[in-house]
Amino acid sequence: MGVSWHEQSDSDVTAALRDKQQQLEAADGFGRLGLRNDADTKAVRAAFLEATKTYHPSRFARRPEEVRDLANEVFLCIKEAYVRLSSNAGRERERKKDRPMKDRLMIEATAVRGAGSGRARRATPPAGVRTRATGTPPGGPATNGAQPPSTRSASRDREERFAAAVAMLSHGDYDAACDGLQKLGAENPNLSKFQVYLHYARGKRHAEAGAVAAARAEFEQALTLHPEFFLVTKAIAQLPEEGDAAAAGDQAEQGSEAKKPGLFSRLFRK
Amino acid sequence: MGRIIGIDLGTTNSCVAVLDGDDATVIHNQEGGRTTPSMVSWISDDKVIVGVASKRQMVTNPQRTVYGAKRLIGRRFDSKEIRSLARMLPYLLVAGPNGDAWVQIGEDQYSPEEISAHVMAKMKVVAEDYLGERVEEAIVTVPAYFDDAQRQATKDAGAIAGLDVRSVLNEPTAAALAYGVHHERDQRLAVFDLGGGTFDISILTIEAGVFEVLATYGDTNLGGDDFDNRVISLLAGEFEDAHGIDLLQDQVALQRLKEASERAKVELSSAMTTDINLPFLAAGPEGPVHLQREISRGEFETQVKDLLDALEPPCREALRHAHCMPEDIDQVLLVGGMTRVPAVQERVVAIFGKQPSKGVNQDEIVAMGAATQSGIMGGELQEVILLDVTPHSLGIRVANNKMSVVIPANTTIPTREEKVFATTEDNQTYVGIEVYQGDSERASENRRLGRFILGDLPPGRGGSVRVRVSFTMDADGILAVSATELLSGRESKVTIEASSGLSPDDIKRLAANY
Repeated sequence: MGVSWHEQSDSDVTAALRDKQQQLEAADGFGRLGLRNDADTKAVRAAFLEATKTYHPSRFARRPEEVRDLANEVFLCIKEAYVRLSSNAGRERERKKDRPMKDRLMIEATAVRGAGSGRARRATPPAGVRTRATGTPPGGPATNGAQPPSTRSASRDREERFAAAVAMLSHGDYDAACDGLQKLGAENPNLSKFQVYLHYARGKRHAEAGAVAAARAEFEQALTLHPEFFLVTKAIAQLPEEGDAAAAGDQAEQGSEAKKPGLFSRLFRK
Repeated sequence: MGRIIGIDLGTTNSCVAVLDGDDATVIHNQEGGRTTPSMVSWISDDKVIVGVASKRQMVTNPQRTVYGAKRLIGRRFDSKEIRSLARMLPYLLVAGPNGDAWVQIGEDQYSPEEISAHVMAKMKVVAEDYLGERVEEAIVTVPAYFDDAQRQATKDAGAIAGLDVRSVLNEPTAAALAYGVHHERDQRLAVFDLGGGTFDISILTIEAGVFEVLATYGDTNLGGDDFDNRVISLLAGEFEDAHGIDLLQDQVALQRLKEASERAKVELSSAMTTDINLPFLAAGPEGPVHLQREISRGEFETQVKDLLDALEPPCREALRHAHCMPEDIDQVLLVGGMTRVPAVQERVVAIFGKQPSKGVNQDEIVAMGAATQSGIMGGELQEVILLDVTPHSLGIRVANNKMSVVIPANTTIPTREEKVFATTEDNQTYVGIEVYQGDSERASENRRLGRFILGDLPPGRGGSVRVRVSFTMDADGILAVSATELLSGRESKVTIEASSGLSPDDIKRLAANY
């Protein structure tokens, strides 16, 4: 069971929480929950629940304010790791932690430009897109009712929607990405990049859901349109053999339906 | 350190419990009741009576007897809810010096905090008599859907009564805790809490001893009193048609109607018809006028049909947000006296597709949950812990009166979220950060919690100066907001304290009376 704080003095508790805080700050998401980086959703949740029983701020509710504040910070750190690691996409991002998301966005946008049209452009999700913690500027705080920026050209609008769809792709929000890309493709039938990305997004979605053959088919469609698309060739290389344990999609996890257990999940299941 | 008691401060009735070893025990009051009416009366000589004594004389003293103060607490006088409430109340509502809804008794004005403090003080005495020791700390429950102002005002009421409110706990969560602590199994629970004035629906999981709230929705203006008011309107309407007399203008008649309607509602839970018998209700031109009428369950259900319908959408929202189908819910707990009404139970079954659990005392479980939480905070209970959520979105006001959400509704607390904003004008020297709580897309329709300024901004074109706003809500629901200009690192911050309600001096002054 967890540590029993009840009998310990305020100073002992403070020291223990400070140690924990240092340990948390030095670790990555998996480390913060005491997990190896191949942990699955179940393991992540179980680790979080155990950590909650020990470190939730209510355990320190009758202590002095400094102790309560410290306990809040410690728990926030643990909870943040849990939120990051709760999805497959999140865990994948955590494993690749030397490539921050912002840079990956730039690289993907550049790849599209470099393939046909010219100068690189930095991709920024426009106002209204759900932003992450290191967000982006939507409208500004109102001091005197200032209006948001005025009319955009149609192509700038299109590029922003495309950048938003690409951002959703990297977040693992495949349904929304496919939706956006499909609309863009329909509106701009002469621009093949939307078709290419749509096949890529669909492929990723199939891959997450474990439909390996369908994923491969989509990726190959993308390659016929654009043979050097490195994202797709990488995605094909990453496609598992049949029955991999990681092959449960985000949406499916939330509904917690039983997925066909693969080879590896049988080895790691408790 | 003394004991922490758990108080369910209900709209209609209050209950106090304490942890005895591993078990939560409800404490009887001096009259032998396990619950105490949340009623306060001012009788002659500036004497105040509370509870059963107040209820007993409410019909003869309607303008000086306050019930349902919970429906007023934390609310502004100038609001839709207060205006519609005022019509049906025999006591007078006025705007307090701070703009909150207050009560006028004779020449004097009282805040709902003060009125509720009388009830809390009584519960404190009940507990002290049972425990044989002074009590200074309490956990008080509130509807999960209460906003920041309502919670703060409830804490203030405790402070006036001489209680340090260590935690303000959500009622459905408290009920789930009291229930789950004795039912070891991991499960998914729905708590359907319909009390005198408020409705909450919460969905929780119990897993490995952690009680985690997944979603909570509700309506702080829907409760038993509204059901009573429908009957009152029916009777008063018929009476006016028959006799040309508006009973709502007569405080004594209104109070008698209220009592009779409430009694009829309760009786119709077990009978198919009941009598309403109010002799000498009013004085007509030819002498006294009586009201005598039978009312059937069917008629009652027709009168309250829209209220019953209003119970469903929050339940659907909660299921959706929790990513649950009704089949995924293992148990439905019924909390609050109104869940005894057959029509309400039928709605629960229709929504969740199963019979609710009958093993729970609707009137006492919330107080027991509060006492159980005191065990978690005090260290006696190691095996369980609560993870609650903040029920309404929190954010700041941006251009065009839009609400930009920083912490979405139903986020587990404690929590920290950040969002980056940009200036809209060239060379803005400051940004005004206005913090709001609520679920409307228009900021002005939500509750403003506070305002602060980050000044000395570096010059720059509109849109190029970036400010990062950080919201931190701790496990007690206290919000701290900071704003940092990203280039210079200049920072400004504020801890949100209620921008309405009573000042610390007011509280100290009032507390001196106890």
